[in-house]
Amino acid sequence: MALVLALLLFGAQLGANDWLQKGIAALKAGNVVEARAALEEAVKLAPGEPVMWLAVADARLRSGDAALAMAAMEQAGKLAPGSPMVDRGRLMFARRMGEVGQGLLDARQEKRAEAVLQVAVKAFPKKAELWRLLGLALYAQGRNAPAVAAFVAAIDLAPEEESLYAGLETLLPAGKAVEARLAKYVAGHAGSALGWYLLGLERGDAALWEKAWASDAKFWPAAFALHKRAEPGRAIELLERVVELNPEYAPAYYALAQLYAKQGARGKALAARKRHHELVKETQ
Amino acid sequence: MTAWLLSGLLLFQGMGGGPRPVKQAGGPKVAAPAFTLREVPIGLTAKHRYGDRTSKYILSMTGNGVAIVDFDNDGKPDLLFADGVAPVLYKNSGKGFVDVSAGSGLTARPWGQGVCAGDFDNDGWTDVLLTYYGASRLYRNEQGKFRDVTGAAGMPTDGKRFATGCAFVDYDRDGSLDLIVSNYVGFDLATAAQPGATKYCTWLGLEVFCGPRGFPTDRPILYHNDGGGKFSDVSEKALKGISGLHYGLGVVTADFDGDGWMDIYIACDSTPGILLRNNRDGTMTDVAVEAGAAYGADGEELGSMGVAAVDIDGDGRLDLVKTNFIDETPSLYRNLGDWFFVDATQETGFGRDATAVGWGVGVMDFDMDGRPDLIMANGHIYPELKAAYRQSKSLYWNGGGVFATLRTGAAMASRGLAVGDLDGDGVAEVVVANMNASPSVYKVEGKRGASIGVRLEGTRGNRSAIGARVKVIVAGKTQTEEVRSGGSYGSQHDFTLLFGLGTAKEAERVEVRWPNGETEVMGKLEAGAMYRMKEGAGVVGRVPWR
Repeated sequence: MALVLALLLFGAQLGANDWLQKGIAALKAGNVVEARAALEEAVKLAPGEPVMWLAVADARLRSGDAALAMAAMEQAGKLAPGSPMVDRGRLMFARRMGEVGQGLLDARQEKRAEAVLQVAVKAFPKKAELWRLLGLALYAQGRNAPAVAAFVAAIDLAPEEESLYAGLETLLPAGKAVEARLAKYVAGHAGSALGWYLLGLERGDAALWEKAWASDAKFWPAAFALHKRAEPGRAIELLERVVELNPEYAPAYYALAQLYAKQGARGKALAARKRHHELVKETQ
Repeated sequence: MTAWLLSGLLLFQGMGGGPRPVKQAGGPKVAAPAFTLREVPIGLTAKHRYGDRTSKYILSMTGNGVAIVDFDNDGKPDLLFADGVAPVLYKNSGKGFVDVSAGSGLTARPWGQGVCAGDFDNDGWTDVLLTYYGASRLYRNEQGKFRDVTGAAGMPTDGKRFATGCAFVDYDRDGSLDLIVSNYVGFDLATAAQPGATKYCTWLGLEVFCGPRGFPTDRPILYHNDGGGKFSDVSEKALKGISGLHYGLGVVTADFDGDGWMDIYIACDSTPGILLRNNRDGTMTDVAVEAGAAYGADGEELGSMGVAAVDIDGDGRLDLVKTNFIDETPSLYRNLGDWFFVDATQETGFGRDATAVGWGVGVMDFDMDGRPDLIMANGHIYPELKAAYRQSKSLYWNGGGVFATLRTGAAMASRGLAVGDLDGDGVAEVVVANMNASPSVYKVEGKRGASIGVRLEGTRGNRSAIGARVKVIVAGKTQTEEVRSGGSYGSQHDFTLLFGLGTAKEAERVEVRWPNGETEVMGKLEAGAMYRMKEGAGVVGRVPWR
């Protein structure tokens, strides 16, 4: 508010650099509205200075105007093509777009996250992480097909990056394009428990979960998936191993309780139900 | 009376359409039923009003319940709808239903939610509780006219509790009906956040009303009937083990352990369900977690709305069925006895259809084959979804322990649902309350078996006989049902119980365990009639089906 007042009263007396400094200070303090007002003033006073555009791009992005932010970034590029400062700024800007997108996702603002990330992947189509985040934003809106496409785009940019495949877990089976990529990944990474596990989900093939479990006896999601196909005795064994490896995974206790109950082991079922309930309460 | 329902049927042939099986992979297979449910116009013309066309507040979501209750003691079940503006009472004239709200004594009041019935003063006239956001209203039935006795009964007449489901229940077996009322969220219209304001105000990218998560949770209230028309809130000392972390909606009372003392289940939204075991000493303890009836099949917190108690497998123990939010299926908890339930949703066929937002639920043997079926009212919670806001009903037909899943009837944004034989032909109709639309009534059409009806009147315990358990033995198999208040989602099924006899001409034996625990054996009863039974006097009347 003080900055806005200053702008109204003394706007004519402050130079572009003054506004730049004020804007950067406000950004650092987390005052996005004031930062943006100051930096918009700075670019008005010095429209030929790339640094002004880089700074206002950041402020615009943080205030949710991804498209205007991108325009500012492009303006900086036009003013100083090939400049190391602008190139560095672009890299930082790409990372910032990812951070903003992630922040919006954390705040369950999926639509706004998608808006930012759509601009981001258009501007930085070679950034796998931005595609991955876009996939998450689309998935959170129940738009599974475009979410898969975004994850696939990310994987194609960095096929060796295992974490990019993880986003597909709840979308599988997702079709031949995904299956081909997962198959290719495990062909080159025979010891990847995640890879075998996901390929198992894609194909609905419990033997591949066995492979995942054999690859890494600590990779509990494979054991959890396997229990659903196993006969009760083995399912209990697997789930008991899951809770040993991940004692805070509430669904495993509930699944165990179900199996104990069906076997007539009421005491064990009761204990598992109680533990499940405690864990659910702890997360609230 | 059947004639007027049938004539309506001819007029509206094709309305809503017949049942459609839900085709989804997995689950046990079962044949389709040989009957359909057809919508029939019976004169329920009033368009209910509830909330607005956008979902600005969670208060706009819950909608209304319906009661099938004979308020004027003429032997014909009437209909009472809770409403967002003023309750609507229809009298069953025998030729159709007539709106008699004006002069009924029921008063206009915003944000009506649910309704339950019971003769709390044992004067032979069925009283009602209407739940509200604000303060619920207790109406005494004075020979067919209602009088608001909330304040006189010692119950709060103002406030901001968001009461939803309710039931009259004699939990301490003193012969007088007490009251259980569930409460949803801690909500204040004056300070409620706007759509999109927080992470609890979006759904799949849409900015929608906030909640229930993000709102304070609430607890149910148990009112003890002190006699003389007075009730006192005994929740603090009588309800034990309730965490307080609940968003309570539908309520059902049932004797889950068969000890003759009524227990209570409360379906909760986005929080674990509540199962109150009657300790037989004037207290009840929440045992839902230990009993295995608090969570979904994968241990998830369900968005539960409605609930029913039903002996699904004929073992004499009452199981539990809940309706849930979209992407969840309804839940079936099988009662194994001794306060131990297991989730049997998948193996019984309830796990096939996750496309509905379920609300009211009714148990009825529609084809009278001796096995209980279920019907569920559905409707999404966000009007912004436009066409997807309205959903058809779900019919679960019992093919012998495994249920066929069908969708039936016109798509509406439905909430409350009650079942009862409106026209006295020996099979129940289904009455559904719809958001900002007239109610729907469905009638069974097609092949069905023989049936008997049982209508009880208590003399030593409560006169409504709420809590009485009826066992009907046909061809060596036992059907078990109870007279209940409340149930479904904020609704009241008819007190008359219907039993399917299939191809049998008579029930071999009918036993009634009255609310005080005494059992009377009625012996053989011929099919084709509703039997009136009075505590201590046996069968006192027989009304043949029309």
